[in-house]
Amino acid sequence: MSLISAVNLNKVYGSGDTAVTALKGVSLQVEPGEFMAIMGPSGCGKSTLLHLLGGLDRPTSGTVMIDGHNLSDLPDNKLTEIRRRRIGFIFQFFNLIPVLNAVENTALPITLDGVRPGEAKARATEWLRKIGLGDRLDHRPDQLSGGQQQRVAVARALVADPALILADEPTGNLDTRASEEIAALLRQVANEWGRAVVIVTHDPRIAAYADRIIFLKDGAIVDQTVLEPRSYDNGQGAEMVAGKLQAMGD
Amino acid sequence: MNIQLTLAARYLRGRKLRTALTTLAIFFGVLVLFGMNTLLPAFTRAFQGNILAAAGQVDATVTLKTGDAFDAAVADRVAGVEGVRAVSRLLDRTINLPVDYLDNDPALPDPATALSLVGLDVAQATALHAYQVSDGRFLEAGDTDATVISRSLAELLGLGVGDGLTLPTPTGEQTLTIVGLLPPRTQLGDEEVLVTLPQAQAMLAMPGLINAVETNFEPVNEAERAAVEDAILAELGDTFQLGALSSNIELLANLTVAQGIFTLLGVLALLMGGFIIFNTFRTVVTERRRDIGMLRTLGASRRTILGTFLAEGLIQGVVGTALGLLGGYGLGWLGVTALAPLMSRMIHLDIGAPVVSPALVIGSVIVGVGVRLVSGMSSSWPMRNTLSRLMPLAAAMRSAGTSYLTAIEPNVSPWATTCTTCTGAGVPGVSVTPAVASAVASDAAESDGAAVSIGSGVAVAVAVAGGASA
Repeated sequence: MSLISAVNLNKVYGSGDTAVTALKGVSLQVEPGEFMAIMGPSGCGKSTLLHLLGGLDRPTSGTVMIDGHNLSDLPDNKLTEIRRRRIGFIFQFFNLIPVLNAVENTALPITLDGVRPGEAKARATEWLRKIGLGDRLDHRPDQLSGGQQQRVAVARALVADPALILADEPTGNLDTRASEEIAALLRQVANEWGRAVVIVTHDPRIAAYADRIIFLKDGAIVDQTVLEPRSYDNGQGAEMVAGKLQAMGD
Repeated sequence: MNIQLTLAARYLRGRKLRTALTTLAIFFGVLVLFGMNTLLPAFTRAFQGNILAAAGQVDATVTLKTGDAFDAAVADRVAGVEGVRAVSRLLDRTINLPVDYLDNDPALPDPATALSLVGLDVAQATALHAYQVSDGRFLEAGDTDATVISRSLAELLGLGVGDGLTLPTPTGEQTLTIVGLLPPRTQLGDEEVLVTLPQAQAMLAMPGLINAVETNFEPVNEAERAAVEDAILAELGDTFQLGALSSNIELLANLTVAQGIFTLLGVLALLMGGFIIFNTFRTVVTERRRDIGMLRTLGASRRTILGTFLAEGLIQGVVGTALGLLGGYGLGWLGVTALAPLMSRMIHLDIGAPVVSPALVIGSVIVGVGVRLVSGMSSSWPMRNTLSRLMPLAAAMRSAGTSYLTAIEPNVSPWATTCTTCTGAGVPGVSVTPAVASAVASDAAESDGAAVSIGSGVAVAVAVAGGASA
């Protein structure tokens, strides 16, 4: 069974003359351990799709199933619980709580879930060490570089052992080197730790790390590409993706 | 420590100046409320204590709670209560003297600025009190224009037995003949000018009225005396009160009024503090939308978000109130220390220490903490949609591209507006659909009341990617 199953998703903002259709009949599946990228021009509905998949917003019509739960049917508290336990989120601007240090930020999802502080701290510390931030445990966000803050955000997304990681432009605010590091880390999340990863990105080099890329235009899926393993190594994957984007723009 | 308390403590620590100023608002409110309510009762207690010591023959004095005059027939109702041995009717009013009234010499300080005119029923008063007349005689029933004053007042005025004492009254100037002198006054308060009750009622234009009934009880044990007091109050109703005061009732009433005024000032100070906090937290909630949205995204329940704000309020309320209580006691102590020599010299009053009652402490804590909680929570109430029902999308989007936009096209609102529209040229790599931007903008408008402009206008993004730091 697919981890995510989205069927005929439509999302309309506003109503009447001011109504704007953000998504039109989008259907897709994401398998456990799969790394999927969503690409497309600005305003094509990428982030909207990601938010619907994460239960951050509700579709106007259509269904999103995660682990067999239909998100449209769930009340707010149940949806909150699913987000807390089954989904990890990563955003472009890291969105760490500025008054908490790296360990506390990482531990937030499980702390909110009622895990004892000692255990939450231990699990957060373990994840931070795994992603190479063992020497920055007590640093607050303003004492970390952008790449390090995003790594903390990745650790935070992983700490609750979710089945799914959703990342909205995770490298959009990082330099080239840090972007590559984060992309490689997300690849590792899928490969080694078996989580499904769905990212929205503009960057063909980052998208090349994925197993599959979905191209959106005007709110609809216009193309899908399955990439060869490790196609990001020689740059061919990135070139191919850039070519497709170019074609879509034309 | 749970997550709400941790977050609350960190946010408070993260904004030290704001935290200090908000806490100060509570501190000063509680300071005034608590401080003045420890100081003034100290005066009242000392006042009552001194009077008790000086008027031991009187078991209780009946007055109206307002200090106003009442029908002399009330004394008969008191006398009718079982256990009451004797009563004495009094009409006691302060007469303020014009400048230089007594000495007629602007160069010298006035020997007295006010006197207490005390009209008494001679037969009843002498049954209760032993007046030690040292010169002349005491008042007799039927005396007209006669008075008895203390030797200290007589010396102050340079008068003796047989001399006339002229006083300003509501019915005009009245000259009284001094028929006797009492020992020098050692009690607090104004010097007394004793006259017969009818004389006082005529001078004050208050026929048939008195403002105190002194009583003596038959029983001697405490329980029975308390029962008599209860019976008197039951007879007269709750507009009356029993006290152990035999004179200077108006001074006590003034002290009570002053205490009420200072309590009101304290509450007003706290209310002002409340408004400051209300305003501050309006800003805080707006500033923290990103964090609130992120917490919701990560799975924080509405209760958790609300709990964080409550915990923040509780910490500040408790700290501010505790400091206010300490400061208030300090204020009371300083007041007592500063005023004690003056009061002792001027009105023979030994004030003692500030008075702290459990009720006052509990009341101050409730008011101090309550104002902080109510103002903090009510400030966020208009934004409850953001606080508790916020779809995390809004926060995620807003945080991804919060920009303060200054519109420069004439048909666009001139206000700096917050919205989440980021054009490709604005912040590289950020892509937000117009629909989402519009949805988020409408959310912002709903919760902030801010003017939101998105559209054809050319907007200048002023660099706040990442939002405000908390």
